[in-house]
Parts: sequence; C-alpha cells; structure tokens
Amino acid sequence: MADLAAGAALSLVALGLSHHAAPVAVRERLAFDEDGVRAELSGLLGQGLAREALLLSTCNRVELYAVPQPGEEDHLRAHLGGLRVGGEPLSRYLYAHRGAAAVRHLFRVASSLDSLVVGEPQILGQVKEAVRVAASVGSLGAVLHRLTQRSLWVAKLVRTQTDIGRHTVGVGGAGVRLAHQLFASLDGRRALLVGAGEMGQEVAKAMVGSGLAELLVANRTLQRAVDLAQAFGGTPLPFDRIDDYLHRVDVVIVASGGGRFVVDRRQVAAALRLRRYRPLFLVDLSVPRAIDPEVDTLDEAFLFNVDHLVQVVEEGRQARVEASREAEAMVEVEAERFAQRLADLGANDALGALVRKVDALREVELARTTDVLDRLDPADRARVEAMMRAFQKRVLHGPLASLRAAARAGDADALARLLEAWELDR
Amino acid sequence: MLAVYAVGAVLLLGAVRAADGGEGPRGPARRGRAAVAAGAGVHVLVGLLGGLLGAQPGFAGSLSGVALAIAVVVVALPARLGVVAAVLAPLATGLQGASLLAPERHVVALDALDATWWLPLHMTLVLGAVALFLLELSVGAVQVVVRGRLKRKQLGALQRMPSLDVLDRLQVRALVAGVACLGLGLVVGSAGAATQLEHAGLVTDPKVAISAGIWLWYVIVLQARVRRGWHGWWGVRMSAVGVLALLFSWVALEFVAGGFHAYG
Repeated sequence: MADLAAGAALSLVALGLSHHAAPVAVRERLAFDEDGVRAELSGLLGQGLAREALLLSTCNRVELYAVPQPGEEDHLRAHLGGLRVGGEPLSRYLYAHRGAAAVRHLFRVASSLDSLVVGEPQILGQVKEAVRVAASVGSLGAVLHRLTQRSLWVAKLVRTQTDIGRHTVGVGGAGVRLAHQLFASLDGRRALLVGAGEMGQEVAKAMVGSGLAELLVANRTLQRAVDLAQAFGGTPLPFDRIDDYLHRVDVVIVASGGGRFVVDRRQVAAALRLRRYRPLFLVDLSVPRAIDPEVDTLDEAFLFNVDHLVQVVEEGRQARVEASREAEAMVEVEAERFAQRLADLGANDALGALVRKVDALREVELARTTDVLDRLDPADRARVEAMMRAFQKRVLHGPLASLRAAARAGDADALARLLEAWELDR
Repeated sequence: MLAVYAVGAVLLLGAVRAADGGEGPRGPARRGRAAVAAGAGVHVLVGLLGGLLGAQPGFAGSLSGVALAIAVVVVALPARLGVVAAVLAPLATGLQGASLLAPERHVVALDALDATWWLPLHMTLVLGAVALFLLELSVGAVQVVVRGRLKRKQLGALQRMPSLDVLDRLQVRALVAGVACLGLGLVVGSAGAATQLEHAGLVTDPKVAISAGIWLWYVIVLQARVRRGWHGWWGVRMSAVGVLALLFSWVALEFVAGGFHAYG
C-alpha cells in the first residue's frame, strides 16, 4: 500500500535538551561534532527507529527532530533518554514535542526565540548546517524537508519583519552602536584602546569586527600592550605617546585603573584642533573614570561612560522583549498554518490511497460484467458507468471527510482506525 | 498637487515616529515619498503646459519652482535620511501653497527681451540653488538636534536619526552644489541679458549685486566648514544668514527696488 504520510506528519517529534534545563556540563558532553551527527542519524535510520531525522547540536542545545517508524516513538525516546553523560542518564533533562508543537518548537528555535540571547543570528546558520548534514546522510524526507525549509523561511521573516535582531545586548555591541551615531560606518576608522580592562577589550573587539582600519593599543605596561595588540591584530603604543596619536584616531576607548585622568580636556582640545574639528568619539569604561568629564564640553568631543553603555544595553534588551512578543505571534501563526498543511499533506496521501482502492474495486466489478455491458448501446453503458461513479462518490464522502477531519485534528488514532477499517494501513 | 504634497508631508512626518523609520514595504515613509513623487510629476506637467501656453515667469512661479526643486530633493534622498525628508516636505508644501496665494507679478524687463534660450536655464539654476541652500539649512538644523541629543545622552531618541557624518557629508554636498548653481545662474543670467541690453547696468542692479554677495557669503561658509571645521550651531547660524539674505533678495527686493528684476 502507498506510504501514507498522514501518520508520518502527525507523529513528527522533537526530542532534546537545551540551556533552559540542562547545565553546560551536560550539554558540552552530549554535543555532537559533524561526524557524530552523521553517525547518529545513520544509526537511527539503520536501526529502524526513524524514517526521517535531523539532529541539531549547538553549544546551547542538542535536539533531534524525527518522524519515527510506526510504533517506534517510545523506543526513539528511550534511545535518546538512555544516553548517559558522565554516568547520569539524560532523561531528566529531556523534553519532547509532538506534531504541531514540534513544528512550533523548530520555528521558535530557528527564529532565535528560544536562544540564550534572544535575537542572536548564529542559530539560523546552525540550523542550515544541520539541514545540510542531514540531507547529505539522506535522512530528510517529505516531512522534515518541508519543515526545515519552512523554518528557515519563518526565521528570515521574523528577522526582516521585526526588530528582534536590531537591538544590541552586549557592551561591545552597545559601544559600536553609539559610535554609529557619529560615524555611519567604522570602515577605515582608527581607534585607540588605553588600558587592559575587560569591558574595554570587549568594545575594541566589537569595533574591530565592525571594520576598524587600525587599532592602537596603549598600556602602562608595554608588554601588556604588545600582547593585547597581538590579540586584536593592532599596533602597540608606549603609554607616554598617547598625546602624539590622539588626533590621528576617531575613537578613543579607555579602560584603565589608577584613579587619575589618562585623557584630559587640554589634550582633547589640542587633538581636535589638529584634526580640524572632525568629531571624536570617546568611551570611558574605567571606574573611577579615566577621561576628564569636562572633555564632553568640547563641541566636537562626544564622551560616553560605562553608565551610558549600560543604558544602551538595557534599551536594547527592552526593545528585544517587545520585538520577541511580535515574533512569537508570527511564529504561532506560521506554525499553525504549516501544521495544517502538513496534516493536509498526510491526509491527501491517505485520501488518494482510499480513492485509488475504490477505483480499482469499481474497475474489477465492471470487468466482471463486461459481457452484459457490451450488449448495451454506448449511451446506456456511459449511464451505467456514471451511476457507479456517483455511487462511489456518495459512499466515500463520509470516510473522506472523517479522514480529513482526523488529520486536521491531529488525531492519529482515529486516522489509524479509519485506515485499518479500509485495510489501507499496511 | 498641493493636497498630494500635503499628504506626503504628513506621512513623512509620521514616519519619523515609526519604530523602523517607516521604511517597511507599506511604511509611511515609502508612501510619503511616493506621494511627493506623484506631486512632483504633476507639478512638472503643469509647468510644461504653462510654458507651452506662454505663461510669464513671475513671483508665484518662482515660489512654485523652488517647491518643485525641494520635492525632487525629498524623492532623491536615501531612506536613512528620512528625518531630513520630513523637514523638507512640509517646506515644499508651504511654498506651493504660498505660490497659489502670491500675487501674479512678472518681471517687466523681460517684455523687451528675447529670453528664449537663457532665461529657463538661469531660472532653473537660481531656483535650484535656493532649494539646495534650504536643504543645507535643514540638514544643519537636524544636525544640531542630533548633536544636542548626543551631548545630553538622550540615547534612545537617537535610534532613528542619521549619524553625524552622514548629515555632515550631505550638508557639504548641498553647499557645494548650491554655490555652483548660484554662480552658474548668475553667469548665465548676466551673459544672456548683457547680449540684449544696450547699457551695462548689470553690476549696479540691486538683485544682481546682492546675489553676488550671497554667493560670496556661501563660499566663505564653505571655507569655514572645510578649513575651520565650523559644524553645529556655527554652521547653522552662517547658513541662516545666507538663507535670510536669499529670502530678502527673492521675496522683498523685487517688489521695492528697481532694476532689471523689478516686478510690474
């Protein structure tokens, strides 16, 4: 009998663990590399546990999306739950979603709504990679292929139609965002990092990632400046030569202790004169502050401190919360729509099989009465055949409607009973 | 046409408040720019029709011409400068409205001249320069707002504002283009008129003299910006002086003073 995807679509499961419940010690031990993913997927298919499977393994989650072989869902769950991590079974961390809930879960994951940092863009690439690996193993079938393609589409929709990816959350990103209020782009700009404070490094790193042409690094200990410059691909600078370079940079990041000003108003005023009053962006991440606050009274000097960066981070977080509400609503709509399509897809296969079966029965009965029918004139014969088709249609109307309703309601048992009654399930 | 400009202006102003700058596929910024573009299209057709019917260039026409030039700038501005478009669109609407109310006065001296070849070019360049100087002043005003917010650390309010260097580049470009247009407009107008005038009174003509002074002022403004870095309030103050002089020369001078540009 035909491969009835109705059951397949309805039995879709998502099994896994994530940062929500599983500590990093568990996640890091379970994490699969690409070869591990291939082996696991091949194993699941080879052991007859699943007919389709996709394994998503990132630092924050390990999830298996699968269409189990009929009757194998419990074995599949037992297989995953039975995996031991450091002697501890995984079952206590494992969650399972089924049918429409599994669809919704993958849409939320791909859209970064289930991420540790909501809105982070990496997850989309990780889902794409998981799809690529599963496709290469041949573990994507009609259901998972459609599901993964749709989840990528939904994720892109969420990113383009909401502000979820626009608002920064980290201190580094906040620094870059503030710099963009002065400079449309950091491409070709130069920056000076003074001190080795952690936040300063974070901001410098984010700026280098945003296209800085050159990063100068100064520290009271020259060797530390050399080490930092090496880490960021920058140029080390002796601490006492800051004045000589202040006018050559567009961005100054100070994260230095010591309790006295490293950059004062006089120095910045002189630098601004030399740079013909082109704006200078200064970030003071030191506590106590290491850039004289009076610097901000100069027209073309724009000074920000750690409180301002925290303010940007907080505004970004709030904006993401608002955007994620909008995104959740979009995911909900799309998940429902897709689950419906999946159910219809399954139902269509079953309906087709049922119609084909009755068609075949009708043909057999017509063949049995060929000698009688051959004696009829063509018009009467056509009438008899039309009557049989109409009869078939009326008889099938009820079962077909029930099949479709069972598929739409996600009632796999009712579907199985109907299919069994018509001897279509095997 | 005026109604379409007004709709565009309202939509563009509304877009400044939208979270995404109104740039969604059906966002108010896009619809606002589309409305202004439609208004400008009708405006050009009406202008061409007026030209074919032999309408005399006059005060109302010059107001309408600057409104059209500003509308073209609004349409041409990139999406990230939506806030500048939102400042300019009401200006274009206001000027177009004023052109409907303004008295229909035309330049008397033109009756005696065959001004077929140089007059349209002269007027396009000069009115274009006025629009560009108004753009430069508007961008300067936006820049002052952005600077003020940066200094007051009103960081949330800055999200939808263009960055300072984008505004600065646009301001310098508007200034350079304005100086070039006004200079060329003066040259074309003087050359065209001089070929047909019996006496060389162009230098003493009040409109020509003050326009040359305005041109010189803007060259100084440009120098001050490039060489001395006079951004922010200083730049806006200098631009405001230039625009006030332009308005005096454009609106008042031709009604009260004599010369080749006097209205009948």
